[in-house]
Amino acid sequence: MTAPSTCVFICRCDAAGVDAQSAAALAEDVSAAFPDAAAHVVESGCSPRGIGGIVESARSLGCARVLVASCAPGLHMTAFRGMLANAGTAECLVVNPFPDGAGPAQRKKAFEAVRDAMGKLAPCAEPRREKPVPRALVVGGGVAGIQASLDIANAGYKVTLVEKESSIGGHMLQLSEVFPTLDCPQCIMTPKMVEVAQHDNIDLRACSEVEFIEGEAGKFRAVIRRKAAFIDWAKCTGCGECSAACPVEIYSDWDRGTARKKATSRPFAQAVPNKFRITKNGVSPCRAACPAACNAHGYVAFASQGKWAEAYSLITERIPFPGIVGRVCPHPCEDACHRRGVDQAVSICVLKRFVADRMRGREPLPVPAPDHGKKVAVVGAGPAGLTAALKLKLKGYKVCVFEASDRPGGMLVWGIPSYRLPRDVVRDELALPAKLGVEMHFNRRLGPDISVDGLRREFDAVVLALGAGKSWKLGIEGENLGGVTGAVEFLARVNRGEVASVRGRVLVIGGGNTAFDAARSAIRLGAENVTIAYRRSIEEMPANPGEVEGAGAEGVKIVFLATPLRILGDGKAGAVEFLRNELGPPDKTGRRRPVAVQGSEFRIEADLVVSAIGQAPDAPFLDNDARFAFRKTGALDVDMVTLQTGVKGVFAAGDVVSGPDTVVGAIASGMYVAESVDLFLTGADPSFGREPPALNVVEKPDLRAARAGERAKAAEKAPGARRGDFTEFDLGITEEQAIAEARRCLNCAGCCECMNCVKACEPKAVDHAMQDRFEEVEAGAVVLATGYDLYPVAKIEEYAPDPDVIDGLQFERLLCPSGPTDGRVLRPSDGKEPKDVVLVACAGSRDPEHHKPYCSRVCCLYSTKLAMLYRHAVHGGKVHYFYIDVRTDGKMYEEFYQRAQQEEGVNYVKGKVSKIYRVGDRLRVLGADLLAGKSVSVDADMVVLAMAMVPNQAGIDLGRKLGIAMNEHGFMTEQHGLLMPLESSRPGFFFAGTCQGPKDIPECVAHASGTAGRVLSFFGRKSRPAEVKKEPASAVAGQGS
Amino acid sequence: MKYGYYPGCTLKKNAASFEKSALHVMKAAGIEFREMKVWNCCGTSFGLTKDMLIHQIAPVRNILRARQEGFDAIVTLCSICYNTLKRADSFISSDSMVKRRITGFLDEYGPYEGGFPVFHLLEVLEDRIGLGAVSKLAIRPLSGLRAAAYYGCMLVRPAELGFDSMERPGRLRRFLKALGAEPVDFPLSTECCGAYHAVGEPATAAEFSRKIIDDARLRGAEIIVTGCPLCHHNLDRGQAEIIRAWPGFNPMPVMYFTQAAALAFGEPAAGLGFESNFAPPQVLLDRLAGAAAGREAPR
Amino acid sequence: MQFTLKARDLDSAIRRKVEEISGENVYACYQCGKCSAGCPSAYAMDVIPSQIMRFLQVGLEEDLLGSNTPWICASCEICSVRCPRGIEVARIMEALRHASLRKRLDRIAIQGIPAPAIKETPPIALVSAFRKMTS
Repeated sequence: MTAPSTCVFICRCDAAGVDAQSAAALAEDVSAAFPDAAAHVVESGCSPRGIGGIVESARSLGCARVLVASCAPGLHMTAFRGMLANAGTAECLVVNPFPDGAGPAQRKKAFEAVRDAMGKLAPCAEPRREKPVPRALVVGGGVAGIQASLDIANAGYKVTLVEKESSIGGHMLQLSEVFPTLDCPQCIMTPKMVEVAQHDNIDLRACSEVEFIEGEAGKFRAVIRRKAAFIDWAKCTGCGECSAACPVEIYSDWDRGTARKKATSRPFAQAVPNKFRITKNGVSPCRAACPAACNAHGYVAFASQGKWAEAYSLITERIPFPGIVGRVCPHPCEDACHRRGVDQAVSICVLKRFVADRMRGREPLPVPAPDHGKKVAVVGAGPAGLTAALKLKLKGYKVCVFEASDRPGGMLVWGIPSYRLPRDVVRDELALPAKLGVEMHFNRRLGPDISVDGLRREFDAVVLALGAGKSWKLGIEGENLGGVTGAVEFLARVNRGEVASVRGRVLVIGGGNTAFDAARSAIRLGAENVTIAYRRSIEEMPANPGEVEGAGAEGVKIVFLATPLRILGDGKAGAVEFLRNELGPPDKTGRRRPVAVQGSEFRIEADLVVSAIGQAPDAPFLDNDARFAFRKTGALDVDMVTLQTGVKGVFAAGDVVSGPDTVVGAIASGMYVAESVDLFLTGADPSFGREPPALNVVEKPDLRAARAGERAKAAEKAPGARRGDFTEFDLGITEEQAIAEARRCLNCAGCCECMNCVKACEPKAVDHAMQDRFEEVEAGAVVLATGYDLYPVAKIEEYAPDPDVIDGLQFERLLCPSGPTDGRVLRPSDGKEPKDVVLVACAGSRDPEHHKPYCSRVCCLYSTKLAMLYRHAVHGGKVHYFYIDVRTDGKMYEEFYQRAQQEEGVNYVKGKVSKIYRVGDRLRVLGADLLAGKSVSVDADMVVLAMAMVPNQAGIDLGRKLGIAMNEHGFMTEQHGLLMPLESSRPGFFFAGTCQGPKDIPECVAHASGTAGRVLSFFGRKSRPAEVKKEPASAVAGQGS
Repeated sequence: MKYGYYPGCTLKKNAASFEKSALHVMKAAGIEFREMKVWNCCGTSFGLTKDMLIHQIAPVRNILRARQEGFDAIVTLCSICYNTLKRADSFISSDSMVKRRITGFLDEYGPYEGGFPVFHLLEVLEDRIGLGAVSKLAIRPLSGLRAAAYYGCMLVRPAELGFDSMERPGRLRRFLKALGAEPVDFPLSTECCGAYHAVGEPATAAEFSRKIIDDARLRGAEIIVTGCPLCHHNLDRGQAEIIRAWPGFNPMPVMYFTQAAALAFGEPAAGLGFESNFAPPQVLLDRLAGAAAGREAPR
Repeated sequence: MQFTLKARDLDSAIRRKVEEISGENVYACYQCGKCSAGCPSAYAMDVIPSQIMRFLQVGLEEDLLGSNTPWICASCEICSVRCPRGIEVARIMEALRHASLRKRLDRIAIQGIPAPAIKETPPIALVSAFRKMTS
């Protein structure tokens, strides 16, 4: 007789509730359906006799595949498999055919269960079990992960230890002292951490996370994400110079808000690996919003530390004229600033002005690259032209600037009035190009004095930065009367000193900065009556914020929603007739279009009518040159990617291309065209690779480290005293104000990329371009030691939020001698030493109705410890500890608690706190003293909540990815709650530490060592023999033998 | 949405000023409402026993009447009426035996499954009219008046009412802000005013109220704003009792949120019932008079 | 003070009555004290709310019915909403009141209130006081 393909052993006993008839019926059904299988009923299969019988039968029948139908398959599987494997059985499955009890009604279901299980038995051909890969993957470097790693490594197997933070150690290293021995955790743990780092068998992967794991027990393939630390750890010596040089301060998770950390930081001095890491959250919105890509975040960070020279250097990398821009820019960076969500934007623009003014006269000069011979001509010495000239000079070109007027500046000197932009500032800042060797040629006009072709012959490339210096005409009747002028022309005359005074009534038509410049200049020149008329409403006005208010304060009247129809007068202007508007639907600029209201004509009397409705380039000779095209707006038409005109090698930048734009826009254009020229002249394609990089702009800033403070107010000259006064009326801010203002920055992006760390790092380890990389690891077993976190204080609304209501870990940081306060207990709100402290137990735990139902196990002891440490640290300090029960379930714990009560003067009060609220600078705690039978109220300086332990969120996320069973709180579920607490129901996955449930440190260590033991016995299992011996079938065993 | 306005007994008697101001407010806000033709006392507190179902008859009858009169929802001003009506309805919706017995007893109103909407006026003003619209109606904003938002118990407890957060409510604060006041949140804003102890234990009620007023004052409040006639009684009239025990106690004016709104909407103070206040809200009235005269009263 | 705890005290008439009237399970209480801590009336009670729960658990009927606790209770329901076991302690207090009221042992006598007081006091106060303190 040939050996049966499968042996089915149907186990029965009274304890399991399986009667003999049901078992026999099942055996009958199986035999009928599977004639080549052998089905036997076994009495008490799990008893030594029973299992012995099964094994013997299987061996004697030569059965390679065994199916055992018994109760509690999860528990019995390992036992049966193990024993049968040793007997040479290749494949064994255990199934429970009677989950709901045995009986005639369950007969069909029972058979189906067995039949399905038989289908799962793989055909037996190859050896099914190899020796596991002799490496363990341990996820989590806290005390449990460390212990498990060391145990496994010391037994001679390899370990890959993955830790998501930049150092191992976990929460234990945050603690001040540990109970019940009051050891210093840094002292006892660092030797173990160093052992891990130096162990030959352990590959430590800090700053890394497990991306995914596939495969099966014995042979897993894991992919680990090695997160970019932005510092090359192979080179980093841990000296800390980068951190000292870093100007950014952000929330410190390690110190849990009791202190800030630098963007470049190391969690603590004994970190293992002892390396620094840079925190990057993306790009700050201010940087992304700047047209010139100025690193606004960076220079504000420098300003917060009073590092004016560094701030100046950083600004001028992108904006060469900070004193100018800091006075006239409409600051889109501030519109994007996330601080607006708190109170008001950071005064980024005013800070730029402060830096420039502070550094005036001592500016560090950039050093141009060596001259390489090529020559570029720039026509126009406005901000666009000068920026292009400067940038090209720094790249080593010989640059000549040709300017039609007698001085540099363009709109900066001929347009913007000096009360907004003092001429000495302009003169000083615009001297820079000449200082670096740019040749400046004045009184050279394009057309009469120089020509495009002439320049093109003499120079390798030409940049036309001609500006838009011609006012648009109003296009209405009466424009040719005397006393009607364009705003640009008017301002140019004022700036040339040709206008001694303005008499009479002035009417400015338009709503941009030019209109306000004209109006406010007119006021200063003595006009008795100045009105601005704008065709839309205040919301659509393009002028800089603050202009409307400033003009109003100086006496300028503004009329909204009025369109001019005609200018009336006899030879010279006398009045302008307007039509009222309403706002209709938006036009293509997105602004609502003004719609005339018929029959609403009205007049405004005026002696001087100034048109400020738009500007166009003033370049008639180019107009006549067929190679140059102009758009309807009057702006020069160029290739928008390269800024090259129709003539090869002739580029254009600034207002001549864009129409009237901001100074910073012109500067950005100048930078851009310099790039184009450089690409062109080095033989590269100037249209290639010009897209700005996609930026990961921070959307939601971390507000936890935000400093309070209102936006700084600049001093100003009194508005009433400004007539006749063209000097600067905005007096700016003081140094104290500047530093305080810069400290309001939220540091949304974390690292601001100021590159100060790069400069400070001697081994050149900093690498801001570092990317995450991936590493594959093969492992036979995975140990999850992902640890815990604390339930958030904010969830208990009757206690929080208040800066002086903190959790245990925060209190540990305050008590820790190596912590942010050097172990002095200073409360968060005002830094004073609290004299009365209340500890509240069971905060968030034992509360099935609102929070966590379970007991968090360690809080009674750690609260007792915190109470004692506080009493040691603060002489005469009082502690009231509100508890429900004091649970002291470990070795020496009861003695510890009794010492706290008897010797250390801790006041234990049985009664849960109902509410905590602030009264003045103290906290009122409403509790109860059940043993005294009264409700009780205590006023304390600080309250420490013993918050429930919850599993670490990263661990929960990983568990979900891996399909690890977890309970509803995220704690990992054991294969069997009593007898198999160290492994998951997913084969090959083991646990160590608090990810499985709250525990104290000795338990974590024991748990981890136990898990290591399980892993080691898994690694040490025998592999299955290659062949299965087949012997002739003998008597059916099982019924006693 | 046609609202059946349910005043409750006290609004017709001691709290007539609450009703008067509320009617102004509801009309100005364009709320479509009419007082229910027939209504009875709600029972003045939700019956906390599980077995004495007769306590549920009064509130449920009001709901059934509102439905019968063709309204889409009830709107009420008194916190206790709101609490009682809503919880009574929820009780019968959630327990089929109770529903059967009560609707059986009130079978003249036809079958009822529960779920008829009951709103407090603050909910209607914020959620349906919108605080933006309320702000626009406040043509005489309360110019920075430091008003303590006092909720009391019945608006915020239990959580199933869904009116607001139990520990950190914000409705009244947002409403006062929309009226131009500077709302003052204070930790005891959801503590009990003393409730029915006004009758049997006035000294106890006084002590409850004193703690609340002192806490509001500590946070800088100039006036306390409430939405419940019993709270108003304890906090305002109860000050006579407080002074008996604490002679140095400084009176603190108390007003209804509808009086605040009516004033902000431009109604003259004279018609709004402040004469019956124990501690008249002089600070508010002076502030408004000052603003009306075109000057900002100095703060 | 001592009491003899007999088996039947764990199943006392007063506890059963209170549980029936309130629908709450007094054995859910694990004596944390949060109800007492948050109760605004506790300062004036001779037996604080958590003790009431304990007395119910062991059937100390005389102490329960002799205390002023349910009468000083203002039904503010802070105890109910903060209890970590979700016990509606305010219902327990109501049930204790009813344990007396249903025997016609009123706490206040309506006839004892002077007429001017009745006139001046708002109906809401009167009716709720009568609801809570009288049968």
